[in-house]
Amino acid sequence: DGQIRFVKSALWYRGYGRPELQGLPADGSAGSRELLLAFSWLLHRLGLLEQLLAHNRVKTGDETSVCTCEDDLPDRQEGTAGTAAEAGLEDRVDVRYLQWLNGRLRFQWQSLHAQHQEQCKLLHKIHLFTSGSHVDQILGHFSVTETDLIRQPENYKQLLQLLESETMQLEAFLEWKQLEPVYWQWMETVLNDVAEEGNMHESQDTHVEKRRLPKVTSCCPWAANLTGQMDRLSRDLMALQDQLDKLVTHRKAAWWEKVTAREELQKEGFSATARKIEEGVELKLRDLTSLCAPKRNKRHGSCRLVLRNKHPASKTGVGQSVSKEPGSVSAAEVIRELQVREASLQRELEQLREECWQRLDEIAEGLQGVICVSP
Amino acid sequence: RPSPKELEELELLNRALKKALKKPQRKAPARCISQGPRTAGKSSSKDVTSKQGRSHRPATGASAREVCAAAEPQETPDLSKSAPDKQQSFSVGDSDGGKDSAAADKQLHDTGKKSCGFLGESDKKEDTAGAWGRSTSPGTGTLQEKGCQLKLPLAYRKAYSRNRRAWERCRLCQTSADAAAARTRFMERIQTTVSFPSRHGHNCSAPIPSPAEIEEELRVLQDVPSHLRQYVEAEPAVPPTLQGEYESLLTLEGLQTTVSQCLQKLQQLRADCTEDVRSCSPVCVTARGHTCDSADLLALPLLCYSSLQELRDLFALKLRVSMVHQEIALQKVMMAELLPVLEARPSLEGSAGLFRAIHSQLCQGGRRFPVLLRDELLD
Repeated sequence: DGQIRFVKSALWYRGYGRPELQGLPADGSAGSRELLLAFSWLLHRLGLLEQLLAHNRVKTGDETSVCTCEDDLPDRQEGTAGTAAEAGLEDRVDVRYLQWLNGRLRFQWQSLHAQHQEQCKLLHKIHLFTSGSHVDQILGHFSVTETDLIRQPENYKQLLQLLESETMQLEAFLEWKQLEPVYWQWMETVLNDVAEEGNMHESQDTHVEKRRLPKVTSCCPWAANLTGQMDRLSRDLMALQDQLDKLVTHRKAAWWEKVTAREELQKEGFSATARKIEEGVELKLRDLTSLCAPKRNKRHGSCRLVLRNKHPASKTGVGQSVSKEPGSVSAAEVIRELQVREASLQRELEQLREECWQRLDEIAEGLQGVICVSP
Repeated sequence: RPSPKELEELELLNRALKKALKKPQRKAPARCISQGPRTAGKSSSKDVTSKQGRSHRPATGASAREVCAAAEPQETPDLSKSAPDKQQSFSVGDSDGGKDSAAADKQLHDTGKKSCGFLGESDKKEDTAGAWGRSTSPGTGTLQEKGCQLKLPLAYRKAYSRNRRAWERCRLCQTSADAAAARTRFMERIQTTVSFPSRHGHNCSAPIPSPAEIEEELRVLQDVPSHLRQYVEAEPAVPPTLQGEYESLLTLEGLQTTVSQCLQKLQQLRADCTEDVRSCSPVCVTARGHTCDSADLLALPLLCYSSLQELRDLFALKLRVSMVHQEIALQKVMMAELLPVLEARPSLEGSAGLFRAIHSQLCQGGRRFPVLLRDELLD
């Protein structure tokens, strides 16, 4: 039952809103044809096979993930929030315990950081020292796994087996590509069958279907989470808008003053410069719009770390990726993205803290005292 | 020119390797390589065995030194730079006498220095995991010098190459025209029943984005304020020239437009969100997924870095992002739990300590504390 709900909601999440599927009984007793249709839809829509192959790729290298999105930590149930206050939970859990836990967390982060830096040093060494040895020219050097493989090949029999079975899978994929026309033609016939049956049952099913799409009002956790994020973002944007509005009005006023005062601006010369300036600004802002548009080539999952010195010849300029191969990203790019993401997240955190501050201020008004904080 | 001492070391090395080649043991050859000649056979075995038990990564240092000798009996690391593919016996020195071994040794040093890059003595002084620390001899068998001449075992090489080629073929494989046509027909027909109802009140019947798409767009939008702020801050407060002022004004106006566009987009997303929810199954499990472009999925995923510093920055930043993400989640939970505790209390007498603690946790990351002063002037 849980599986069925998961499948339905996962399909919904991807935009598969076919009512016949959502209306299938929850015990899985019927609907294999609908499932087949859904599967075919996913197959193409998500590039399912390619995704699976890429996701399960055998890792022979030093891997690290590149994408900046994290799996959200599960939202806590709303119910328990109230009970803590009512049950006087603070008597049982001292807030100092919370502080102590926080301190420990911070310490763990620090030691994790130290470990990572250590790991970087070692990785770099191995990559550097084994440069030029790998069979694969694109890689150029060994990974930790491969270096260890030389020393103890017998430990890596499983890796070899995995590689070989993956090669077989890939060959099966190639076979599938040969047979693909047959599959899609078959799916068309399935749709034909569905259409025929649909014509027969249409009059009966229309009101039934309407019943099967319940109007979900507010209890969708996904929507609730998203709306929260959207609210915060909208507040941030509006604050920015206010700031910009003020700035622009101020500047505009100053500008017009200057323009009316100086007659030389009326001359032809300035209009030419003005046009050049406008073009320049347009270019500048075009970069911004491209930053704000969704990037199609986001790489999720893990990548193999490869040391590659920048060849002077391939320096295409600041902000360009040095590596030209498909599927590879440069660390510089990733670092930039991470910096942006860090800034956004930090901003979100600060907003949350400001919210707390305000609420605590309100609480403090009931207290015979004054709060001040050291800067 | 190599010293007599180095020649001696090399001879001992060769002898040990000969022995190793006869009986394929892993530990025996390591003895001679990892230490200088005097300590061979004694402490190094302890060194090696203690490393065996360790986890994978720290042991790499020790194992790397053994690598050259402990390669499979069929494979021996190459010494000559000119013919890297030939399987040359390592014991050049023995058969050819002193002069050639010196030459070979020198060649080795040169090769090591040229292709691997010479990092200097500082590496040996490092305490990193103790693994590198014990390498005392300046270069008979460290990974630093031999590393670029190592060879992966044949079985692995074959499997790897086959695998690599298969991936390339798959990546370059195109969908046949027939398949593409049939697929398109199928998708077009089914899409009408599948897509969420179109937006109301719009002339264009653009389909409503799926929940996955909405999330993706939101994620992009969330990065916009940071970008915008960078641009705003880049503008000078008082532009020096008239042209500069004009440029600044135009830029700011452009940014204004962007902000309002984003706000509009956000509103649209919000509406789409409610629309999507209508077709939601009653209990929706948040199935999170990543929409990745399948064009380059089958390509070899590489992350190329160019220096140690870059690698370190990368890791540091990744951790930082992860940390802030966790902090946000913690913040939300703490807000939900702690604020009601304070809000439920009618008065805060006696809870000053609690208040301060909660304030510090929620507002200042637990780092600083507010000061509460008793307002005695009221009395």
